[in-house]
Amino acid sequence: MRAARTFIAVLILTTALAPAPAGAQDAASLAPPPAGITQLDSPPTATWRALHADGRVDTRIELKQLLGGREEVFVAGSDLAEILQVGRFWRPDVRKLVLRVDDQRLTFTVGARSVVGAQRAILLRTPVAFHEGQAWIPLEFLTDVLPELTARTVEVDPERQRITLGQRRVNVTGLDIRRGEDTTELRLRLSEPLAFRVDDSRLHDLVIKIYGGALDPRDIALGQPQGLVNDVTSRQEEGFALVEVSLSELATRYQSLAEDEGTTILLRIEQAPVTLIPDPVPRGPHIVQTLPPESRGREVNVRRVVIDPGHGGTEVGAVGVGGLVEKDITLAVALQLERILERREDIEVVLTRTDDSFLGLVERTEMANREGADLFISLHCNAWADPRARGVETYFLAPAKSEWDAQVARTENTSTAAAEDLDFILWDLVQNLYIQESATLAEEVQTRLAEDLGLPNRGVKQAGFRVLVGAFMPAILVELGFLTNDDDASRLRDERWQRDAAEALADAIVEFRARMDALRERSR
Amino acid sequence: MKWVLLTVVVLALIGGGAYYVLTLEPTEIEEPVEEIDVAEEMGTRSITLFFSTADAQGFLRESRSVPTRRHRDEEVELVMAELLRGPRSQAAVNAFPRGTKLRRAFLDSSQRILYLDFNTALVSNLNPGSATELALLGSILRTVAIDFPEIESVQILVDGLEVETLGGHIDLTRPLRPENWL
Repeated sequence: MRAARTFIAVLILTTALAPAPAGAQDAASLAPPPAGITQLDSPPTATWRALHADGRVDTRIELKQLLGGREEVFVAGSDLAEILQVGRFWRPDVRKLVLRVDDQRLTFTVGARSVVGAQRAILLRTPVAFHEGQAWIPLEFLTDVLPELTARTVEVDPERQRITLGQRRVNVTGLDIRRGEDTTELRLRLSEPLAFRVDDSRLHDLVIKIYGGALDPRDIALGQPQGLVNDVTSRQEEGFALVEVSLSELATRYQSLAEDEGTTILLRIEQAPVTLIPDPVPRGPHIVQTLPPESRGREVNVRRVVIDPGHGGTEVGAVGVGGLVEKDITLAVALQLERILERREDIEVVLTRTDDSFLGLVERTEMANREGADLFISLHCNAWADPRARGVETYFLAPAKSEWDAQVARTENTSTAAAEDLDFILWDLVQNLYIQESATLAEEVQTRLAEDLGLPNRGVKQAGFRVLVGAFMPAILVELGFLTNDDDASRLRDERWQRDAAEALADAIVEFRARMDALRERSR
Repeated sequence: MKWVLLTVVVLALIGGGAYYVLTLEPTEIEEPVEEIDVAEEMGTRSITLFFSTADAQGFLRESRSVPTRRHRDEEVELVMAELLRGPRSQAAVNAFPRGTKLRRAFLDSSQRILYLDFNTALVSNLNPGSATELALLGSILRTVAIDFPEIESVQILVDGLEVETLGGHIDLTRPLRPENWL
């Protein structure tokens, strides 16, 4: 399994400073602790709580620093089995501990760093220790290895000395690969429609970022090359899942599309037909091309951009340090952005408001639709109870889910408002048509703002923003910074910073436009 | 002869027994899996509350117990009262604005749609930012998802009425699904 190999590689990189490698697990099974490190008889001990996410299991476990002068923390094999609620099997003669975690038998050997599983081997940074008549497992197994091997989640809260265990709700459920003569089709099965984005900036690699995706890396992995796909690995990140597809050198282009109402992500990878005439196109970084997704009938040609300064009039928005008001800053940045983009002859800018007037949320999107806008960017400033929070974040709409619609229809069918609601629900789905472009635009804007302005990057996120529902074009909402944070607030009120932010936004729009132009060009 | 036979039988038994013992696989130690919720038997139930982290990028859990009630909506009110009371941990933050109170919680006839009716402080005292709205709604919906898994959707009301948003961000015109917030 490739996912494991990647993981081991990462571990090996981090082992440079670790004790002498223990080598193959059998040879090392009875090895003493590495030279220069002594095991303590009465090690520092802390009592932590281990909880299950459902709140039912609440166990106290002891964590010990067994090695003198080293910070590695160990948990007893018996405690580990108890909190994971798995079968435990200890062979004192060879000092081996076997845990049955889900469908895997994991064998730990005292003195060895390797954990032998059913199908793969894992290397820990620190060897398994022996203490009080049993095996003690380095805590990194629980925090780093377990979530990679299984769909279990582990959260560590050092401040409150507790570990919370849970089960990941998986919605990226499977991987299929079908080989044709000149094409290879890779399908990712989803249990609900999710927005995704394919990054093809790396030669021979496609990285699929699935927003809100949750996966078990064992499900989304490939054992051996199939057709034009050499390898598939996956990993879970906070808020999204990443699937890396490594392509054969024969692959010349690909196409990405959503199928089955968004519950399948299809990558169609193509190989150029073999000809005897030499290919005039130089190979190299451009070997992988993007074809426009077929699932959409609409092309994005960025000519008219609607900028929406958040809040306004009696609705002041967030209030920050020194009485700074959100509606003023969003308007100032929007006016700067208008000025910058107007210098370009090929982009037209429309602002939803040009002064301190009130405008409803739906009116803003309606205005963009009426104007035939090709892009909608809503500008906002953030606020939070803790003044330490700071940084920039960009949102696009969480796609409307058909099951959700069915649910609403079910609950509403007793009321008389059914027809009106149906209209509403369909209008909700409009933004779904542009969800990939909105994700691309959000990534572009977030990268420019975080990199060009050196702001803490809080990431691209999805949420159900009222102002984005019903936008018939790629649409995003940008939170430029926290008015409730001193550093952010002093930037936000600074006119020069406002201009720099507007420049970064303009650059992102121009880059997005170029990307969309290139897509259209290739589809001709 | 009898003695010889007896000796052979005894030796065979010992040998067989020894072979059996020697080839015996070490037995698996099964750890107890069943959990008994002691609190439940005493007329209280343990609940899980979710509070936003200080950076508003995630959530921390806290366990508490509340008295059990015959009606689900009354139990929801008790859980929400605990949530509004705020976290005990220093690492977590109470996202609700000052003065927020739950006026009433009620379930529809199917027992699957939960209406949470808050007082106007939820809107009038809110310093609206996406982070605040998402943290506040996230703590409600995650708590409902774990403590009342049978509830399919939650409709937020303010002073008995539907609101478009709390402060100009997250769409509240239709019910929210707790499972989407986990």
